[in-house]
Amino acid sequence: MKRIVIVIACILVLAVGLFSVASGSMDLTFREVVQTLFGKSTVQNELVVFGVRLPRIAASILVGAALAVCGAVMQCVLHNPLASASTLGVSQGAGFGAALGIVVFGGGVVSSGSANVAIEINNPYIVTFSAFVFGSLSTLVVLLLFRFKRNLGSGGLILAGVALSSLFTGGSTLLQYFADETQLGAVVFWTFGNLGSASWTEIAIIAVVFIAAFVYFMFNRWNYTAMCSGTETAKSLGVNTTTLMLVSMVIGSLTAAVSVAFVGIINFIGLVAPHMMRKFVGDDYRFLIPASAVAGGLLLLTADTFGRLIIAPVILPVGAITSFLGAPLFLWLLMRGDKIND
Amino acid sequence: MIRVEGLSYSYGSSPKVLDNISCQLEQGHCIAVLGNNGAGKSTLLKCLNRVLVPQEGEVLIDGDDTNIMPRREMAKKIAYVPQRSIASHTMVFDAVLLGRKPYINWDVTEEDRRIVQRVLKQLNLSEYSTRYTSELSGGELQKVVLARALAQESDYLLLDEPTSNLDPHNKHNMLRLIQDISIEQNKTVIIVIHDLNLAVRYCDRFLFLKDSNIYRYGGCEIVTTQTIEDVYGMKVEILEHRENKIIVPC
Repeated sequence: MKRIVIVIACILVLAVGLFSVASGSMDLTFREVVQTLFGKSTVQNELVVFGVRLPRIAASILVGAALAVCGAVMQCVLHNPLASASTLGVSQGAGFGAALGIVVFGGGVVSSGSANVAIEINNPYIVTFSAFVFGSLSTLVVLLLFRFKRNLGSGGLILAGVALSSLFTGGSTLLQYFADETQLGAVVFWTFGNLGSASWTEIAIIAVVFIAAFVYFMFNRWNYTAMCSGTETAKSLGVNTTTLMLVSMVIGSLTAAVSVAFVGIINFIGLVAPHMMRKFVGDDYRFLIPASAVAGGLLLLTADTFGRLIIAPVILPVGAITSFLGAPLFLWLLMRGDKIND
Repeated sequence: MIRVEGLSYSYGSSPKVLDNISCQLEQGHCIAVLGNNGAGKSTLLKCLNRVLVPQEGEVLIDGDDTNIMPRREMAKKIAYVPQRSIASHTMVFDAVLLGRKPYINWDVTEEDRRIVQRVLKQLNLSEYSTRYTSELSGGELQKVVLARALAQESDYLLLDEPTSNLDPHNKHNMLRLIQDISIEQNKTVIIVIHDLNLAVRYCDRFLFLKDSNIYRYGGCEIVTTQTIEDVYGMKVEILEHRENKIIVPC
């Protein structure tokens, strides 16, 4: 049953992926998509598929998978169903870092203000690096609090994340207030989340980080399952809980920070995808980690495809779509009385 | 054998819960840890398998110092059932399979599955194996947690109030099972229990804690009206019924 759920989710990813490749301002038939993928089509089709749509789809699947897996692991080691990169302040830290990179370090300019594009960040690596540093800083503060204030508890860590989120949001607002129009446009555009901005090189970086994290998480899948039964039980089953928690949080946060740094703020995927899959595979991390990865990829890919097509040729920001899809989905899970509020 | 030497533990800056405790817990016995609320019974259990790390002293299991023993090796020697069990959302079979974790390298083996099935059968849980633990009652969950500890196949079993959620019938069944396991498999069972009558019926060694230290440790002969009055501060009468002691408050 658990394996079947993962296989079905994989098939759905493939189906939505194919639909997404074929759909857009220039529609392709399924036959044309297959021909293009096997290098037997026109140069124009190849440009659309390999240059525009496939990188976007790959970025959606990878970032969605990364955020979901990190959320699943954070929820386990912190014993808190609300833990995720966005609730621990990683996303907001990255948002502040990006704003700093654009406004203070001169990483961004705006070429045009229309909704269909043309807002460019002229030095994306400064922005990405700055977003990564501040995303990671959030984690560092949370971990230091855990290190020096052990009785804070997992609820306290989430509250610390909320406080940091508020601090970074305030910082971003101040930067936007003092930014000129072009910088302001670039900051706002970045915070929308844009999966189309990732190049193959950036996708490769996200893929390497995600795969490394995924391998580590899978290697510890029994430890996470034990942690779900409580810290004392996990210790008695041979788990070094403190080390596992610290290393998992560092790896999870860095992976989320890398993902967010390249594509902008994307909320709810890390929270919703693991809870969705828990319904089918339970707290068994042997299955929950791969299931969350597939569900996260599927959710973000669906959200992005929806955002691209709903009022095409205008592309809606994926960050807004995930929040629109994610929040009702999360409320629905709560209404069904799932194991979110214990 | 578990040897405890000069063990002390305190929570943060609070006064010591355990103060310079030393004792030898022999192999193959069912040992009841008794005492008032807050006497340090659960803390002692947690210090034995380093769920809590004692500030002073050492615990030797079969001569091996737990301070330097890898956690995984310790999990093969000592299984532990905590006072409050958390029901994760897993199937009963998988929850018990978790007890094989110290032995699992990458994936479970057929032997692991066989052991789990045997333990489930032993505790009459076979029919529950595909149910989710979050759907079980408190008593059923307690049996699952005990099953997980048994699946660890360790020589020592630490049980912190394992019968607190069970009805009288299941309470006796479970303690009888624990007693049988202790005798048949020569396991040492250390059990925190509040019910003195159950303790004298199913255990053969008694460790009374008082004022952060061991008040008395020994066989059934130390369970006297005087000991109970000193430890619990209440007067009791001890009656004999079919060779069993029955403790009745006066």
